[in-house]
Amino acid sequence: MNLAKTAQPLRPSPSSSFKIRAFTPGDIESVVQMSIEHFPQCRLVSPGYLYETIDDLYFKDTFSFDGIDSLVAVDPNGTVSGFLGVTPKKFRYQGETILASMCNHLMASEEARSALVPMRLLQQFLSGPQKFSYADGSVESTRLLWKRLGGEPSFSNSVYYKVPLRPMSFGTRPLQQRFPNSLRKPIKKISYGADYLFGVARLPFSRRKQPDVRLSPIGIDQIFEGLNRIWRSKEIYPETSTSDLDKIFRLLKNDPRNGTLHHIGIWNNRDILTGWFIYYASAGGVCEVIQAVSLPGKETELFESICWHAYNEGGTELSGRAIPSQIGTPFTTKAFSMPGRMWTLFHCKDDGLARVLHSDKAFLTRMEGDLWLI
Amino acid sequence: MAEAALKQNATDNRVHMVLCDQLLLDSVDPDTDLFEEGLLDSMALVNLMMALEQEFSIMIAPEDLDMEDYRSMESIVSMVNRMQSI
Repeated sequence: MNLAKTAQPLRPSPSSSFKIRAFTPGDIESVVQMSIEHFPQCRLVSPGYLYETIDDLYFKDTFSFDGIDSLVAVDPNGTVSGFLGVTPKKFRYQGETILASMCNHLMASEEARSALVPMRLLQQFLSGPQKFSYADGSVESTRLLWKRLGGEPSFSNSVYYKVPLRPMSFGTRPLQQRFPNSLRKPIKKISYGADYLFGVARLPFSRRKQPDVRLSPIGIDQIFEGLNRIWRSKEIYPETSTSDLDKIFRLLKNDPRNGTLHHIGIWNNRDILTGWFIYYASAGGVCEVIQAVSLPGKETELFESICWHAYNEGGTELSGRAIPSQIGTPFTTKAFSMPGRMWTLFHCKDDGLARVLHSDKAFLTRMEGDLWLI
Repeated sequence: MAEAALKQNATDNRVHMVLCDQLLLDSVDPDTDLFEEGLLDSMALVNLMMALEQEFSIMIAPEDLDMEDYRSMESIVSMVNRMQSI
């Protein structure tokens, strides 16, 4: 063969091969350090908080199953250089309990990336005993890896929306991010003031319509009851108990990054619960919706209720992921809709189950994906 | 015999071309360990696989994915030959 001399490598050589093994409590500190390096949102909390959350999520009170572990990649010196968080979950499908597995926080050091560690971590995870695997809020590179390993992006579960609650603040937000802190605050205040004046002047785009329903805080038991009603029309849904919900609420409430957690029920004029929403209200900031669910046909009411509540909490923007039954409703028609901003990914060898997972017969909200917890 | 050798040489050259194109190299030795040299990361591997599929009209199924096949140009050529013979 007549080939010219090898060009210089573009990246430094990895010293040797990496081993992949189960994540243990002794690795938490390294994973905390890696999370801080890889995920900007992890820099907003203390390492101690991250340590406790990771410990809580992966080692305490969680449902565990032999053969389904979070994974770490270690170099020959034993240094943790890659991580994939894995949570086993139980789902109900066709009257039976099936095992699923959710992955998140795929990360690897520069050296580990050169040794294909992300691909190997995902490959090992996907070859586990679970009936199906999924990931929520994945970035484009993970989608490509996932697809190559036999998974599929769920287009109907990957539609993100943004609703401007205060148009001026919403519009100047990208600008604010470009300016230094000293200018950011005045711009924010001026925008917020302008929005207030627009509201006083009753300009149509600056006010939110009050929905003709009763909104009030909803407890875990009522949510659980509501979920059971919604699940009746679903073919697959998480096998959740009130204590699971309690735990997730505790974790959500403790997170200091996103604002104040609200869980609000929607009751119609006959005092029937028609839906609820769980979201972080952030005065002057983005309100992130974790779960917004309604009875079929009540999506408009739900949408208006969240916008109204978030507006009154001082939010400038509402952001969330639509579930399939909300596509084509105000969640996508009266919002900036962003298909594929991030991806929900499924991996399933059973074609029948895969079809259900990709349809609106599956119940999978952001609450079932723990991505934003770390 | 000569025809087989010629064909093999053509495959080698095409794999070499795809590799150089994907890894932004002028050239690569057939036995260079692409992992050890840090030339191939997970994303580059995905892109390389797509490029090989296009170039050789083959389909690399997830169950056929063995990362060792991508360790060097030589092993990639073997994998392509194997896929083409299916």
